[in-house]
Amino acid sequence: MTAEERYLFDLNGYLVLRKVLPPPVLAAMNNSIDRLEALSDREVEARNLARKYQEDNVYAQVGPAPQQGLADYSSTILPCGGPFEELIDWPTVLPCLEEAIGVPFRLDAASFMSRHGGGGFVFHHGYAEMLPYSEYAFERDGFLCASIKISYALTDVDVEDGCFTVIPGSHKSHFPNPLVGQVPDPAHPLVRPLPCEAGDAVFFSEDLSHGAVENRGNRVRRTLFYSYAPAYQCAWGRLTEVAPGFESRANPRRLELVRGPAPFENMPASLTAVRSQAG
Amino acid sequence: MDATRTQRLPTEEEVFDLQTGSGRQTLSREEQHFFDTAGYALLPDVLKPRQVELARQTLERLAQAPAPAMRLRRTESFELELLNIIEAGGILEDAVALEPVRRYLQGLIWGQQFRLIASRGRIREMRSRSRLTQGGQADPRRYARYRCGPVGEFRCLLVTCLIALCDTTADDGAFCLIPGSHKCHLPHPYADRRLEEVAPLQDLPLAAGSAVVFTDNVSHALRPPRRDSQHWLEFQYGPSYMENWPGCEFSADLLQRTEADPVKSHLLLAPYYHPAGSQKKMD
Repeated sequence: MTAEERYLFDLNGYLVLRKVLPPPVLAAMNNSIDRLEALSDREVEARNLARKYQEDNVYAQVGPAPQQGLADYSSTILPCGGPFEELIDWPTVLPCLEEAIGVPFRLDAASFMSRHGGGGFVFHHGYAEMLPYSEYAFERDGFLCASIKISYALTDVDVEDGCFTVIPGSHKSHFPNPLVGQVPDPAHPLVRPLPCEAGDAVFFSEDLSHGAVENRGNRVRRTLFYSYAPAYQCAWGRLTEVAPGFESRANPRRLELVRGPAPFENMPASLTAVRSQAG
Repeated sequence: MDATRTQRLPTEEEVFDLQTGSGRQTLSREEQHFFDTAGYALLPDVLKPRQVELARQTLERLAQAPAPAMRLRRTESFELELLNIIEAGGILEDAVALEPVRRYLQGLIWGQQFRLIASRGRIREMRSRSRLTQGGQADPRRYARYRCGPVGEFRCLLVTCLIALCDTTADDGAFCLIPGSHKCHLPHPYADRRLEEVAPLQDLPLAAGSAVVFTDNVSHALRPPRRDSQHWLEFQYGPSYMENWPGCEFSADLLQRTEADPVKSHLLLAPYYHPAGSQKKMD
């Protein structure tokens, strides 16, 4: 991170990274998703993908069923391989992750989300919730984030398209978020929608209060979420499952990010006796 | 009085039914204050004398013939570490789930969402030496992080319970620590000193069967014992999403035999963020 990025990340709890996905990568990802969406749920399951409709998600507001295509859903994505695998250790993002987490880390989740008109996502999280797995911290001149997420826009998403939305600074607020559980109102003075063009990314601390304003437009919002955490934290269920052959084709860093580095390596175990000067 | 000013906002746990139980405090305000200030709590007589003797005999037996899924490690400093002792069953299995300890775990970690990370036995010789851990903000072990919110919301990561199986004293193998060091902003200046030269170290002599529960972020060590077989049980616990210590993975046999025990099986759940069904995240 540049000095300004470090300042802004600490100030706001997020950074908007512009044009991190080049057009050919975007096209490959969207083509892959187009092909997947032509498949039935059963066919998708046969490819080891878990497609879940948002009507079952307590965080999601779901609009009327679309006339064409799938209803709002999220899905595992790494079993698709290709560009989704490459994104695990994306070179423009990796240095920011290293700086924000500060210790050996792993990929703990990767998913895809599709949202139509009427859909939204309620505010959740915030420092005051004291969620240990998402803690934002800064000590001794370094970030110690327990969870960093990156939201990659695969389509242009303006405010009316239901863009990702945050309460800047809430990753440091000691008071519960009074807006928790509500779909963000973009007119609220604390609420900041973050419009993105396809290929942009929002890099944020999971302790930041975040959600998505309601999609009031006609465009479907397509987003990838990749999440990283210190190595001693586990993965989120199936969200790090990969495609067959991954272990043989992945580079060492990518492999380590998915497997997770040794959670306690190079760190002394409590009370492990060592020869001291007194010995 | 304006009622809206005192109205309590619903927490995220309530809104989304996260089921951590962190709102149900199990420690008294005095216990909370003591732990937050000092970094430890003493729990006398958590094991009865016959349990102490049985545990000691079991460790001796395992030192000769470890149970399956256990590992032995003889350290450079004349100590035998028995890793994953819960696999041996009996008193070593029962001792991971003692009620006085669990009350602290629920108060210190993350409501009901805590799990066993590691179980060890230690047999120390007269020549055994341990070093003072770093502790505080300078401790590189992020997994040992200490955190407490403004109204007593503890969120400790690694919490250790040491149970003495022999009487210990200041000049005979006592556990010692620097009270309050879990909140130090600076590294301690004692890396090259003998333990007896570390002025702020406080001894916590324990009678056999008594325990100390502490945040692993407090600077701590063990004094050298005066006998050749000083026995300890050591159990480490962390939040539900923390991975097992390498070598402390639970065997299928252990999981099967504890399945019907709600307390033990809860401690031995595979790492998770939220209990299945409590939140509609993909799990």
